[in-house]
Amino acid sequence: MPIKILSIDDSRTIRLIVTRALMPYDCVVVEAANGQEGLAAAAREKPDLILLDITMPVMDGVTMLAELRQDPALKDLPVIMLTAESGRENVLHIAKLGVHDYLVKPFRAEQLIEKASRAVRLERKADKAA
Amino acid sequence: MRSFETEMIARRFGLEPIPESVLRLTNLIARQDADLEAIAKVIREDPALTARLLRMTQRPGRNEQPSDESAVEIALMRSGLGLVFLLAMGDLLTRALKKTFTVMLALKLDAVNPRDVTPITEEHMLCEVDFRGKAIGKIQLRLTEQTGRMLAARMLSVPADLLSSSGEKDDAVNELANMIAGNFLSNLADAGLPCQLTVPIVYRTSEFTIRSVAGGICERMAFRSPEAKMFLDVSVNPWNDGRGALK
Repeated sequence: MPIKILSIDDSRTIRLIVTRALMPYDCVVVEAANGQEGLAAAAREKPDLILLDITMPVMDGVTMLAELRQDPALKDLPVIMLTAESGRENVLHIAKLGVHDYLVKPFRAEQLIEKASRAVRLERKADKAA
Repeated sequence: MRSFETEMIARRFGLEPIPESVLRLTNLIARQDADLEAIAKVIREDPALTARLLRMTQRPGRNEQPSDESAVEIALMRSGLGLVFLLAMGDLLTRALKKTFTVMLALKLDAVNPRDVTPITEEHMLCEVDFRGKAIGKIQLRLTEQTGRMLAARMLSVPADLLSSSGEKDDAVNELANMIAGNFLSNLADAGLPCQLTVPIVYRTSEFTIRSVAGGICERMAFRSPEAKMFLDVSVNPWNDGRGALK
């Protein structure tokens, strides 16, 4: 079974960059454009990893994270924050809600893969075929 | 004040520190009781900040040099605290912009004197972000449609003629502005000036004048690479109460 990754960001550009970065790996990327859609997608898809932005319309990433951690069925899902916000106090508050890792935008694809690999077992498609 | 806990978190997640001189300068401003001597000392220790302050406050026909003993103090007395705030902000914004373009687009931008760059006279893209907190202000990124198209294409790693809609271009420029503003405001928060950020909005305009916030002071910065030019305008009211003179 391929790894399932849920990418939640209101920017279609970022969702595309994330999907493209993960393309060489044996994984499926599911997308959502805000926290509300993200919660629904998390309940429906039961992803192995969530990549979560903060500043989004409808429901922001911090609110979504707090709700996720309240849900007995979803509370243990690993979350990596992928956001431009990196103020120390803000990051501390988010870390206390429970995140696996934190990646600050702007980011390189390699940084994303490195952090994702620490949360889930990412295998290159070519390696798996061999 | 940074706690041990926040520093541990910063180390765990690999968060970058802001330059010491800018941090000290912004901390002084945030205290609101800083005197001219303390601010001048911090600026004098950083040649880039010194040069920028003197350039911003230069009087026609005069040519103060950073080596002049009292040049920084005179410039500060002439300009007031508002300009010092703008000086620190401009440094943080420039760093955020250069980093965003280097990392996301492999595009090296040089900061240049805005007077040396031809203004944009046609209708162009303007991405605007407002911030509000201890200070209020506005950040605006201006670029031509052609530059916006090139940036979006680079960000999405597709040829520019394969971009299907202006929506793709706007979304990419929006996200770039979001990264610049987000990094900038995170640095401000770390320096003791927490502010809230609005969602960036892209629109078109033919007007090339800086839009200032009420009672604010502003600065235009320009950036250039062989492929692109753009302008970054920042307008700020440091205390949101009209105060701005040094004690």
